[in-house]
Amino acid sequence: MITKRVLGIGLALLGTLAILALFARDMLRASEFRGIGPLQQIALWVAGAMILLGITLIPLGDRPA
Amino acid sequence: MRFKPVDQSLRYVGISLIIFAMLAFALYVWAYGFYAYRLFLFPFDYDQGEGYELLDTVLFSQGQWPYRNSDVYPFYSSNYPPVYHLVTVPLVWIFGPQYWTGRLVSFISTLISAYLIGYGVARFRAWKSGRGWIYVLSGAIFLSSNYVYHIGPLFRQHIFMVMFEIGAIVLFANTIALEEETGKQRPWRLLAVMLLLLLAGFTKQLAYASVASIFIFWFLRDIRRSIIWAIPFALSTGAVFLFINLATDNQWFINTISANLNEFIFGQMVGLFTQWFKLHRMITLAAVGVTLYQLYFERLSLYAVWFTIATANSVTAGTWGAGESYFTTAIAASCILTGIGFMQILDWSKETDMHQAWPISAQTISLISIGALLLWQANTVFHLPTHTPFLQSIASLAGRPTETMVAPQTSCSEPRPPEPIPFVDDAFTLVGRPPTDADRDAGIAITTHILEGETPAFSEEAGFNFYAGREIVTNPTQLRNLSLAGLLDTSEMVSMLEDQAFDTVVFRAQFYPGEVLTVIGQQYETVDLIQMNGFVYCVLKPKVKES
Repeated sequence: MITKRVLGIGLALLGTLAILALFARDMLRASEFRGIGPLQQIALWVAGAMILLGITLIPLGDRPA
Repeated sequence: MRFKPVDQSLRYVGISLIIFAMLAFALYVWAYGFYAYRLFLFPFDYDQGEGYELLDTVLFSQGQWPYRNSDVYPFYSSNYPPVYHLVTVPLVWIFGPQYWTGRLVSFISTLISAYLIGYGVARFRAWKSGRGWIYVLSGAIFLSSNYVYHIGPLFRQHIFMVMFEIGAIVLFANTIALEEETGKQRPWRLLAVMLLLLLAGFTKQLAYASVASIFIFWFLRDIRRSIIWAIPFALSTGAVFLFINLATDNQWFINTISANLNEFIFGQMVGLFTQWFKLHRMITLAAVGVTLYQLYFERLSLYAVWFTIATANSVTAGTWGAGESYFTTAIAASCILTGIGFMQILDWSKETDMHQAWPISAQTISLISIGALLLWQANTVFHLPTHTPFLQSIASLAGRPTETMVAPQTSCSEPRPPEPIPFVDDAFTLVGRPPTDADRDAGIAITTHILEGETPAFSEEAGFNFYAGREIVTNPTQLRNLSLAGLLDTSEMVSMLEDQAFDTVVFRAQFYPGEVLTVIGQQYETVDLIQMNGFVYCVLKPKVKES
């Protein structure tokens, strides 16, 4: 059984990985376009929300998720 | 418990609001039934592509696969999985290739979905009794969604997939609750859930969001069992996939996967998300509220996980060819969570009233709030046919116009001026207006052109050839998809068109690949423009060749 804390850590990690992946994709892709695209912006907001949710869940401890 | 007179009066206000809301939703359900009935009587394509779903059903009824090589005559292939068509096959055996068969199957599936939504709310917890109206309203809100209204009675498989998704989700939620309550495992019920998921996935590929929801939720509750069940489920899905692919000489993979990866249109996604939220903001906000409450103060329910994943997956509505239907799973989840939220508020207020002595009881405040929220939701999804004075009065009362002015869509003629449509919809789109006798006559007029010739029409809709008793040729959107994916050789098709092998060509939106449109332009000329269901259809005949 997953606890609120584990879920929180998981969400925060997932959000962080998503942000890193978004920037990594830009660096690896051969494109003239510089900057963050509209879809990337939305993805960044979602990833940021995941991190925020995750962090706030961590103090809830061992209660079941 | 005794209430003060003021409290009692306010309680009647709350009950009245709820009754008004129920009447509003009852009106929407009536409108839905009326639209469905008019569609059952309409013997042509209403939404582009319906006829190809009928053809798939006919092919299955004859023991043939619809996943074919589109390079060769009749240049047809399906890009959808088979379950919906297989379920409709018995009706086609009995009644022949009729549009109403699949439309009826879809329509019934939405009624089953509405029932399952109410059932899901009812079985979520051991609620205090006497609140059956919330179960009924939860289902009615689903049927009252503009999106469910638009696509529910069409010969399309999407909403049929949603029924299987809801069935699987509700059964799984109840099974896990039962297992945790009794400490006894229920493998047969879980097997039924897996079967429903498999049926959903082989009705339409988009069901993967519900599959993911179930396994992620299960992972949160019981890691070991979720993995143990995921492996055979994945193997079974793969086995069915491979079987169909082998039986169709790889055409299944080409048509349902390779050629089904259309381009993503960002503006379309943003537009649809904005519209979805505007129309369903009450139930969406309620669902978000219940999800956050469960996340911080209770355990996450399957419905909350499902709502989150289904909403995120609605991003795929931005792909070419996708649309509002992609939100119906999220809407179903919102309806269940809204019902659960209302039940919890009423339970909480009843408990509070036992310990508090406020001048106005918590129960009364809750009833007024719920009634107001329901009326808000009823107002934001406004849609109604307005072909009678009574219905026009209702539209006026709701602050809406009594008709919609809209110009017919055309891809092959001069633009036409806007004209009044006796249908009002806060999400007015290409579908939703009940077809009329004039639309039926227009379809027959197009068919008459085909019957003047001797060959099947090279048509962007199958309905005219079906009505004329001719063979169905081409599936334009699939030809477009295959062409864009570099998987189509149009040489035979182009050669036949150069030879004017088809006596009639019918355009609605000019979906065909560029080279096909070019050769049609060279070899055919427009002889008639016929308007049907708000679209201008162009009828083309061969040009006279100079000798």
